Amino acid sequence: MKHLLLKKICSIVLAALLIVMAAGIGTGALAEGKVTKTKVLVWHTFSGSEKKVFEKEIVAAFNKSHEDIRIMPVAMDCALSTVLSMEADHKAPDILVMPIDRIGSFVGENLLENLADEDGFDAVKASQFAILYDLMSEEGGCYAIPFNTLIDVAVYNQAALGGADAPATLEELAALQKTVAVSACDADSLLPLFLNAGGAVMDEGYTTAVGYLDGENSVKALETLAAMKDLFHVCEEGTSPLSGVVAGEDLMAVTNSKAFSVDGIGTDGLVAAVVPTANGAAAGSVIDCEAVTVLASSKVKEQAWQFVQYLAGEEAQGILAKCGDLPANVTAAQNVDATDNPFAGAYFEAMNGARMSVVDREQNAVMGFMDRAFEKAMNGIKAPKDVLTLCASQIDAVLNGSEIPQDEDDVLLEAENGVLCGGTRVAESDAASGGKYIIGLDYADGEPNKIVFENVPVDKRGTYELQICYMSAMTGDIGVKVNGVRIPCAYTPTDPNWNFVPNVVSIKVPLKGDGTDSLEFCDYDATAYAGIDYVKLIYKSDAYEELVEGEAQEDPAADGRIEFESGELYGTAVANPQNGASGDKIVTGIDPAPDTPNKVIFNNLPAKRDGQYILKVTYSTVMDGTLEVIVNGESMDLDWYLTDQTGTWAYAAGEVSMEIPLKGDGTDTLEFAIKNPYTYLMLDYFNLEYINENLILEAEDAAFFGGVRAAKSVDASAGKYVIGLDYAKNEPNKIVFENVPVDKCGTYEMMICYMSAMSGNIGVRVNGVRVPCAYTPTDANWNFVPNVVSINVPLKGDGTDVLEFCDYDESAYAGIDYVELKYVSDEYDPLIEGGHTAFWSGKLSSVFIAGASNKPGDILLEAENGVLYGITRTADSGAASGGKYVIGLDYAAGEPNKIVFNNIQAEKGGTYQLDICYMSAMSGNIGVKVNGVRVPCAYTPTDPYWNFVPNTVSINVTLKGDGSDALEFCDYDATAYAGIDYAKLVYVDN
Amino acid sequence: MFKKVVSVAVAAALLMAMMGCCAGIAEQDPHDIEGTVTIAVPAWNITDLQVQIGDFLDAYPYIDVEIDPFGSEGAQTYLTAQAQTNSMPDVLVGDWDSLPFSVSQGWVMPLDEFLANDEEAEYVPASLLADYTYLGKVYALPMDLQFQCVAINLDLLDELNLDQPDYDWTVDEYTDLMKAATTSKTSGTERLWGFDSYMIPALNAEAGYNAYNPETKSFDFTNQWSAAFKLFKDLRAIPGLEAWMMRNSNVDGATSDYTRKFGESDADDMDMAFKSGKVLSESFMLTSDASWMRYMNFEWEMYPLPQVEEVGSRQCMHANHGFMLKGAECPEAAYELLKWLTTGAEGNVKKMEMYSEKDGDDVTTGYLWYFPSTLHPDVVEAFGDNPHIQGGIQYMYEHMGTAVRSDLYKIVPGFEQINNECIESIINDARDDRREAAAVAAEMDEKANKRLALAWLEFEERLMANED
Repeated sequence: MKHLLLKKICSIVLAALLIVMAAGIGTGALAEGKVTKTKVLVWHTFSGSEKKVFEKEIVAAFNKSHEDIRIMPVAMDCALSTVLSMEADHKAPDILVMPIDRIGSFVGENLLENLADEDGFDAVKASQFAILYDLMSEEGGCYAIPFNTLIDVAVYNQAALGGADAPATLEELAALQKTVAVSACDADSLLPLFLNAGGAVMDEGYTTAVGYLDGENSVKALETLAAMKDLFHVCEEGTSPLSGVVAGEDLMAVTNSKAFSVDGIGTDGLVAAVVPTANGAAAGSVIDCEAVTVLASSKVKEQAWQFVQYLAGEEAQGILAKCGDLPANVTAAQNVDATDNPFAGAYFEAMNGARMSVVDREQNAVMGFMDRAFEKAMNGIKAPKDVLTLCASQIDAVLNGSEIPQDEDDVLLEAENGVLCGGTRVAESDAASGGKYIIGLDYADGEPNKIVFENVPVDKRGTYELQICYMSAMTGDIGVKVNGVRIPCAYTPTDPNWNFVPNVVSIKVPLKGDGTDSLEFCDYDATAYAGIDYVKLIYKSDAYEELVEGEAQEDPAADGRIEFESGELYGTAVANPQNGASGDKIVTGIDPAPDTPNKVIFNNLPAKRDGQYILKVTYSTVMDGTLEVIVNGESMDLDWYLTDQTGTWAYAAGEVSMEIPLKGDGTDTLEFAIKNPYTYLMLDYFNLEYINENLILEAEDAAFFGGVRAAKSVDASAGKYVIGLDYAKNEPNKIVFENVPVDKCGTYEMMICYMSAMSGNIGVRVNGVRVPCAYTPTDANWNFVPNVVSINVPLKGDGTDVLEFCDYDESAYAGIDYVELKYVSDEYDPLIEGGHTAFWSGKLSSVFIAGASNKPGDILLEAENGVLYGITRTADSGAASGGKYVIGLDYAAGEPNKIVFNNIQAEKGGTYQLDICYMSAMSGNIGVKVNGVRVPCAYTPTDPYWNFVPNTVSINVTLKGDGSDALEFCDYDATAYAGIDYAKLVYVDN
Repeated sequence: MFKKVVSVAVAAALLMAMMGCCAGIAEQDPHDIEGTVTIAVPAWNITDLQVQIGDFLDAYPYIDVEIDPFGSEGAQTYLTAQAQTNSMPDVLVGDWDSLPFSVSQGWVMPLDEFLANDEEAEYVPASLLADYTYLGKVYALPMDLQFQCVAINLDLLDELNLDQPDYDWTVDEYTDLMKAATTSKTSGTERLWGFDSYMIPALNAEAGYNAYNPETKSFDFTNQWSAAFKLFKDLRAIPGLEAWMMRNSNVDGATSDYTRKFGESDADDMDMAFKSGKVLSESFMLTSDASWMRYMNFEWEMYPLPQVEEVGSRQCMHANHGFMLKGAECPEAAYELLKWLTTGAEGNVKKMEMYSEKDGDDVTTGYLWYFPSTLHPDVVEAFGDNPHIQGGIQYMYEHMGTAVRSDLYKIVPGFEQINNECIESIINDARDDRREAAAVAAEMDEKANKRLALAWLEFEERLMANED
């Protein structure tokens, strides 16, 4: 028995030994006993310091304390469409953390779990600010847990307050005679002040605005704000109101903690307080939050709920406070350390009487109406009572689904009442205003397909908001012309199936208001289409700025000048205000003094090329003298001369220049100092001009066609580059250099400086012949980041050369900064359109032009040169003859989609072989009509994926040879499609 | 005695345990590496990658990973934008763009030092690493493999009383099967378009897809295309064998032989006949097409391309790649993560477990398996254990070492443009009998090789300049 026991114990010990051995000598982590944790996949919308705190501190702390769960966070857009797409593939995450105003749409798609049913939900809810739950509830459930508290407070520049306390009322604020920064004078910006002045939007149940928004207190609140209009400083578009407060230009801005946690603005020099009130109203800030949701499809709901509870708890919420947000957890909010979050006290105080940011249960569907009402009242266009009365009825109409009342001062133009030109036509939909909308605005050369409104009935000169109600399945640009000048107006898809689903886009336009204004609408993008329901004009202000076709507004900075005050000022060098100077500032104090380096230094000069530059210095002075200019450490002298004859040191600009060498690699430095004692001058700005033996053609100096326009960038050559070269039929959007001033016949290297977020092909035409030139992306966000591509081209050098540029690829876009031409050799091999050429550039980016060879007497008809009817359009391919072929010959009754060649110049009558070069993925029948008579011409597939792979079919046809012959091409088979590259006629016999 | 035995056994156990632990530390187990890695991953597959990276973090407890998704614009555009803002990731995986572009920008870190110290690298087929080797340095690791394959309708095979072929079937067996399946009501295959391009490597030991030879960095249609082209033409010459050709009978707009034989359910669908169940095979398919094949209402299986005895299996393969960026904060940690997601044994075993556990009814994308890019024994075993994998798929995986790349645009500089303009636009002249194949081959070789030589030269000059 003892032996057996011993044997058993030994066995156990040996088994343990083996296990321990295995653990000890295994190399794999799993063999070491590390467990595989359950993964909870989290998508969130945080960025900046919020992202860092969420991923690196909150999630890390949870993962550390949970041995069996690993949270895997990643920043995603969390857009409904993205989540729906991933759901369809069973690849959705488990948790979304996103702005609260998206919850409704997700609930509508049944994507979210009702968290109210979870164990512990009541405890979580009880621990958080109750008001936040007003935002979480949808359709009787609770589908999200608040993660933070975003509450509006008034943030002041402490110095601008001058030691005084933050004003408690708007009246006290106005008395300080400083400004409040706002993004716009609309409801979105002014709502916190409106509510604190006694205004209201809706009843507590969000069922009606009538009696609230148009109530006596609301009218008084808006009147109060309108009376203080001068108090508000509207910031430039794209800038944060808070930046003006930080800079001391404005006293106050209303904001929540996002400005600090995401935008990265520091709180130093700022103080926060409750938003000031007016009219004796109680303070009541606007509250918002981000929320945590669990996807209904999650297979790890239990673990996901554990994490949600953790996020709502004191530990996570305490960490969250570090990035500047106020926790949603009450205890954590009360415990926030003021050193971590100096504005927490103000946030907490603002919680008293706070109201939700979402003004209606339709997730702010009515904010557009409120914005316009507020703008009209604030700009003095209409009385507050009138705009609020109308707006309240509009909101109720939105909520009830009834017809929305219009402001009688707005001008509503039904598209079907405009003059319909070309192929535009009426379509019907019960959902359209007036039951009708207009389609067929497809772009064509000369814009024949358009809607025109002449003598627009507006009676005030000024700026109007032009609202365009449209429908489309695509993104594009509604080509709007206001008094003949095109204004871009981008649109996004409304329905992928071309059903009538309306949306409204707005742009600001200047109108004369004298009864002679005109508006025109046609598709701007050749490959995108939109229908238009109506347009509405809403008067915004009396500001009127005449539109100018194709010209950018001049900006002094656009000439590439560098202000001296932007340099590093050493010693006694100082920037002082100076009327008349560029930027209203000059630099003085660079006179020599013992042991004191008084100078201005510029590091990392924006010179882009290695070589000689002309340095031009603009200055003002009452005496002659010499500047010491130190170029990359090498001292050079630059004499200056008296400019101010009065001797009063008034500003009188003069310019001196010298030649200097620069490396052009971004590391060049320039230093400026006065060489001799007792001589003084005021330095204003300087320019650097590259001295180039090559010919530089600035894109902005070319002739502009179509929608081409200049854009500005300090990084662009001469401060400008050209955009809008988007391909359209017959290339109306292009720049052209005529009579290019090169004086030698031969081969030139053409260097094209461009910018793009895409890869594509710059369509270059050299003396009328297209030369492909591929480019790659330079910046994904369309910022001006230049790059240069090169091709070799033959030029005649007799002063008659012509260069044209437009986007070659219809779906790729590039801007052009400049074109540089460098003489390479006297070899001149002219390019031939559609023909083989022996020309070889020696660069990868250049390609042969393939196409049809043509014997004398043959008649080559490039499809793109025919008359294109209906929806036929050109497509590009480097393999196509002439770089183009024609698609869209789809059969329709009456054959409206076709290519027609009239008056073919056949020299004699008789039989001709008609070769048709086509491409298709199908078999079918090209419908050929010869002098009106159909001739069958079968074709077979050339490529199953619709790539441009050409093939040629031939038939014999009879021509009269009197110059009146006509050929037509359209798809014969309704369900088969072919593109046509070219047709060739070869005489056979008579 | 009893006490003594127990004491000795316990002491021995403790000693062994200590030795084991010490050995791990002394050998600097990679799992103990500390560091932070930022990784860019394709957003389309983000949740799978979240799980895979989560598994990595389980195994590497001292490494922290930050995930940065990039969208459908691709790695080239993403990295261009990141470079502008000096915010490059440490690692990027799932790239389907041109690797030469990223390498030529000077962004990509050579991996040779890491591979030299990586015992598992020997299980990555040398040919796969060679695809990413420029001027003697390896710049990326393969992942997400796919193969060109022949899908066979097993129900129709039964119906026609034909035997299911072996996975190492010969070209003759393939040809015989296609012929046997061609009847008045059925056809052998849907399309043969491009079949010759894919069959070049199967019939020639020296050439790859489209007669590209990675050794000489040139095309050789003149000498390597003829056998594959003859096979293609011989098959196409058999009336009714290729369903697609029957579409060409439509000369006057009336119903074609194709629709008369296979119906008019959706003639715009390039695979209508095969989907109708009346065609035995689809010879123009990637294994990833399992995503839609799973909706077929017949039993099917994916077969490797047929072979000839003297050459053996030479499949046409696609692959995405992952690489490390220069400036990675902790290169050792970055390499471990890169390896986990590409060629490493542990990562692939865990990934295969994830795929094995998926419920076939719960996955609409059809990705119930994937091809690992390593033949490490543990991975081979895990692959074999996946219940969703069929024999043909298994065969392709086991023979990836002799496969050639047919997605050459990802690894050969300038390939896409050259292939489009100098090959694809010309080759149909021969396929459709408009020109002699020999003349077409000569023209393609001359045009494409001139362009290709220049592209390689320009790329390698940039690479050398970057390395200086």
